[in-house]
Amino acid sequence: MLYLGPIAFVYPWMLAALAVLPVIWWLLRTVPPSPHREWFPAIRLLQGLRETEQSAEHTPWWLLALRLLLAALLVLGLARPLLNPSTEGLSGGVLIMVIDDGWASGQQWEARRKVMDDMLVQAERHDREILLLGTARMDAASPLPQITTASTARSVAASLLPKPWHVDRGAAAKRLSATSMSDAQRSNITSVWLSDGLASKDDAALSEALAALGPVTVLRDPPSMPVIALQEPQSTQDGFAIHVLRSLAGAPQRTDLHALGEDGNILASAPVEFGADATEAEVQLTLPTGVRNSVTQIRISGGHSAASVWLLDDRWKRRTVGIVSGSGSEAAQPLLDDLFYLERAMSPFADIRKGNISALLATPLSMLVLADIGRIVGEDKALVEDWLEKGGLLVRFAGPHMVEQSDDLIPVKLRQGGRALGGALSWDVPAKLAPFPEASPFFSLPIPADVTVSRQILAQPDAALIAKTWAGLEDGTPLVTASRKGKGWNVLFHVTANMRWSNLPASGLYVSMLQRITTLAQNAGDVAAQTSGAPLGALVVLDGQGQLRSPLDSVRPYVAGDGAPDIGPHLPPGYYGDTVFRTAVNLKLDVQHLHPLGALPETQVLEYGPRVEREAGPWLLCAALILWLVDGIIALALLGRLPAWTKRKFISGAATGLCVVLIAGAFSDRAVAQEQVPQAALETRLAYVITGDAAIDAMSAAGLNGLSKILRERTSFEAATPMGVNPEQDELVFFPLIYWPMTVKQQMLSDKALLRIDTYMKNGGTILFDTRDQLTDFNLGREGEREPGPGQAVLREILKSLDIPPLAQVAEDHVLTRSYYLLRDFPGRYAGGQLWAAANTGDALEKADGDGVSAIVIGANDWAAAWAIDESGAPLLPVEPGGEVQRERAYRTGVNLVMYSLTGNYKADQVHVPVLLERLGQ
Amino acid sequence: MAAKAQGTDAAQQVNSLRQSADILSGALPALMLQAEQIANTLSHGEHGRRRSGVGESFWQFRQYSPGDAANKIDWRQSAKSQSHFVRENEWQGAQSVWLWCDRSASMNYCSAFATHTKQARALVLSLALASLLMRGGERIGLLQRGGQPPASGRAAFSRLAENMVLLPAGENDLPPQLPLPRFARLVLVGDFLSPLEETAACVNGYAAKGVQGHLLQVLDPAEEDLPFTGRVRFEGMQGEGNLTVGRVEGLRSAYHHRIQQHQEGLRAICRAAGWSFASHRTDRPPQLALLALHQLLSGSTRMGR
Repeated sequence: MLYLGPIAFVYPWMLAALAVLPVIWWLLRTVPPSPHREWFPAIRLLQGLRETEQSAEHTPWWLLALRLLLAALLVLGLARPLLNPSTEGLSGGVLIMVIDDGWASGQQWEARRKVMDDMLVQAERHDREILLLGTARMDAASPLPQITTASTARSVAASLLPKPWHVDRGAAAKRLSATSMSDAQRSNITSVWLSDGLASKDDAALSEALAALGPVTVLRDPPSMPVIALQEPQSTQDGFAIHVLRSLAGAPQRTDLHALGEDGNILASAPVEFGADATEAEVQLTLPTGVRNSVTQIRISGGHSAASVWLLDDRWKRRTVGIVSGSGSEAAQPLLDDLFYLERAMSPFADIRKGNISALLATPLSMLVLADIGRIVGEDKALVEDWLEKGGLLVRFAGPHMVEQSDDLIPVKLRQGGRALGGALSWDVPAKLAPFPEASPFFSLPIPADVTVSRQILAQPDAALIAKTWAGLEDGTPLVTASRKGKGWNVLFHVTANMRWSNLPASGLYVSMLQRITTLAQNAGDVAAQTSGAPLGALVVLDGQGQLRSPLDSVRPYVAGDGAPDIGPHLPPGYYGDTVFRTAVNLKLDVQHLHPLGALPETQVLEYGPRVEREAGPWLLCAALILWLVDGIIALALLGRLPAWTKRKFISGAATGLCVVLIAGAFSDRAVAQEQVPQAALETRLAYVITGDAAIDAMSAAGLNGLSKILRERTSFEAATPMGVNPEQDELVFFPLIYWPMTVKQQMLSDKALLRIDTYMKNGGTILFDTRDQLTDFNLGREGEREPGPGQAVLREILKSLDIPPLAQVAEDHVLTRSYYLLRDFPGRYAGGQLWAAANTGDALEKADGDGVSAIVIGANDWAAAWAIDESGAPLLPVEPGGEVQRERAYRTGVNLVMYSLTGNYKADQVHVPVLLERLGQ
Repeated sequence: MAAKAQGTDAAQQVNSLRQSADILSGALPALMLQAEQIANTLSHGEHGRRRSGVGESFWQFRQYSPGDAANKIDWRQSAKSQSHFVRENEWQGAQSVWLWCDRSASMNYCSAFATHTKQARALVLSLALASLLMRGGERIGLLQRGGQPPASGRAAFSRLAENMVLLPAGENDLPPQLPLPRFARLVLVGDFLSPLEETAACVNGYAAKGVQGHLLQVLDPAEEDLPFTGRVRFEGMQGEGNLTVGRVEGLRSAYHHRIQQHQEGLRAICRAAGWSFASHRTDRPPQLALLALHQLLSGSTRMGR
């Protein structure tokens, strides 16, 4: 190494080659360039001619200078110069490199690895010895760190990966002190701690252990890159509430939270917004129930750590629960109603449906709750039995009806008549609950002291009664009994669902019990495994960067216990179980806030930053290569092998080149400055109206993108990228079809814009208004009709000021039903909304300007959301209720609409075909 | 022993000659076709000798005048009227033209500024001229050792073309001195880059025998313009040695002057012998040179009689 101020040379002896330069100069001076050979018959005439100009015997001076520069660059480049060489670590000795490779380092792992590699390269240059020490939790039996050469340490460091569990710096300090070092090594030690920037309880232990050995440098993240982590999501009425933490405050930060489905498709997104001084944010993910159940992960967009992902299993799924009550409607007195308590208790974690038994069982149902229905009559009973056999969960509550009579769809045989406790004529007091038996799903639920039962129905005592009892009273009489029925469960509460017989429905225990029962509903067959503590093998596990991977052999099975799972090398977060039943183990933060690494004694603290030392060699060699090419061209020119370029040609060529560059520059400027819409005239494309609501506009763009893709694939219409238009500013005439989603943020239009829209519609354009509120009944605010949806209200406001033709619902024989595909309905993200278009009124159609194409089409099905795709072509949103089949129909609807607007109503001519054929026949 | 070695040498020579002849004759039909095509473009507008003379086809009847031989009287015609008529035939005077085409190595040159070698162009011009003249009824011979006596007709043309291409080429830049009949016509096609004195000796040798001739100089554009640049090493094609020039551009005007002088010298030699001289560049169309040559030839024959 040779240090010359800001430049250093790794191989200074290469510079000796610079001494050769004068020799090269002398050689080039004396040897003229080689001549170009040419046969020539008239050589006799040439002989004896005297040249009028002095010939270029010698290489011109500038070529000489160029070649000398080339040689000098080559020599300098090969000497491996370093710009701003770091003079650290010149001392040699042992470098202890402590790496926080716990979950928090996954986020910026690449940067860390680069820093690590740079340091090791530098250490290698100085022949230092390295001790690599990871701080993530380790198996107690794992080998102690060894002092190795820098090149070995480099290959080890290159394969180092972040771990999806916590760091244990105390253990790392112990491992460090246990490492064997010779006295010579011990005498000269410097340490670098590549921290993850988070505080833990043993920070001081590690920093003291390092400081005892020698000077310590701690690297930490710059404040612009805080560590982000998810807390456990909480189920809410319509989705999840998630608490997001970050380690450093200081600047506002915005990212996204995605709910992902089984295949990794994004089911919902919500922004995470940290205020400037906030270190936590609360995010609501709103999801429809059907979609919510298919969420398997919640993930921070761009998060690359195990704590940026939360895996969900069946415990987070909402069940559909049907409730039927035997008593009449007591809506006037809700506190007496059975349904009131059930609904209140179960709505946070289940999707409640009400109705009669046959209607409820007509759709998939996880759980059926019958409150005080003594006898299931008629066909209903067969239905319920069948459903139970297939795995349904029937929960029945006792009540006056059941006291009178009951059927056999109950887990135990009942005694006729109830039992009253603590009544006015009885000596005994209302009974309390006994602790839940171990086999019961309620086991370990705390029992509030004030829950009492004053009336119950009794079971016939028999041998199996104990096994069937999930909950009992202190006197041993059962409160909740259950039995298997086929694949399903039959559960009976021996009290009413309301407050009449006990105060259980008013307690939190009631909610917990129902929740536990609900958990049973989904996976009735696997409850045994879940509750019995059987070991579950690892299915897929998270790696340190938050990606799901196949587990390593060292992963041990997970046994569900009481406490939080002990995440570590043997139990990484992930899914355990099998594909039918799996349980999610997540990295749970043991803190409420992420505290940044505090001040450490006797250390130098640096931030991870770009490397200051730079290799200049490659650049010099690159420059030498370019000079060599230039030299080659010049040599060719001197030999006369290049096309004959006179000076004038050269100047005109250069001028042309310059002009091209200038014009291109001017055009690129123009292109930026140019208005958007004349671009639209170049290619046919769809357009959407920019409503001002960013989310809706993005969805319109994504939706039309998706539709354009389908059009390109399936039809001869090569639709270009769709454009957003603002009727206030932009010309509309270029677009065959404009999609206009209705939103409450829609600004009212100026007269100019209205005139423009009116002109557009009168001249053959078609506007598709989408109220997006799924209302089937469209009306223009005629008297006495029902309240319009929000989108429809906005639409009314807009249409009030436009001259629109009479509208009619698109009938079965409308051209729209067969302009490309044969369609019966026009679903979008929702199904069922009707489509309205200009009424087909005989003469008016014949004379219409737009070939009878309706200038206005109105619907409510939120088509853009169904069409929307992301950059990779995957759909953005799920469609309800028909899934992918419905999406396909939505696309077909779109294709039909576009074809209708493009081709006019010529498909309508098909109706005349029979007549035409008949005429031809005559 | 020595004789035997000589024999094998000769056999080898013949073999290699035949090989190169095969290669050349492959190009012969194309060459002939090209020559015919060029000749065709010129045949229009040229006429035969519209005058009475010694010939076989009828030309005219004319009234007997004293001095006409009695056997010239056409009795059948005379019997139709009172006066006597003499039958005259069209004059069919055949001229013998001797062609010589330079086949030396220097002719086999084609610079980057031309598309054909000088050799190819000279052959095409010679053959086209031959074709044209034969159609006019002239007899064409090949001036070469072992060449071809003047003859006319299709077969003669083919044979002429064959001989012209296939007969072993001399290394001479100038035609050999062969005995020619008096008043024969001679057409010499070549580059005539040899020293003026040699050319003058050759031309004067023939002129002294009363032979009328035409010189057509075929040059490559590079030979006339010297368009090379930079440092160039020129090599002669007939063992003239080589010459390295540092900057050809500096030499260009001097060379230009030199070649013009050379051409003037050639022209002067021809003028002194009563011959004509023309120059042709291979980057120009051959028709122009051919037309000029043909007009010269036909004009001079007409003048000659």
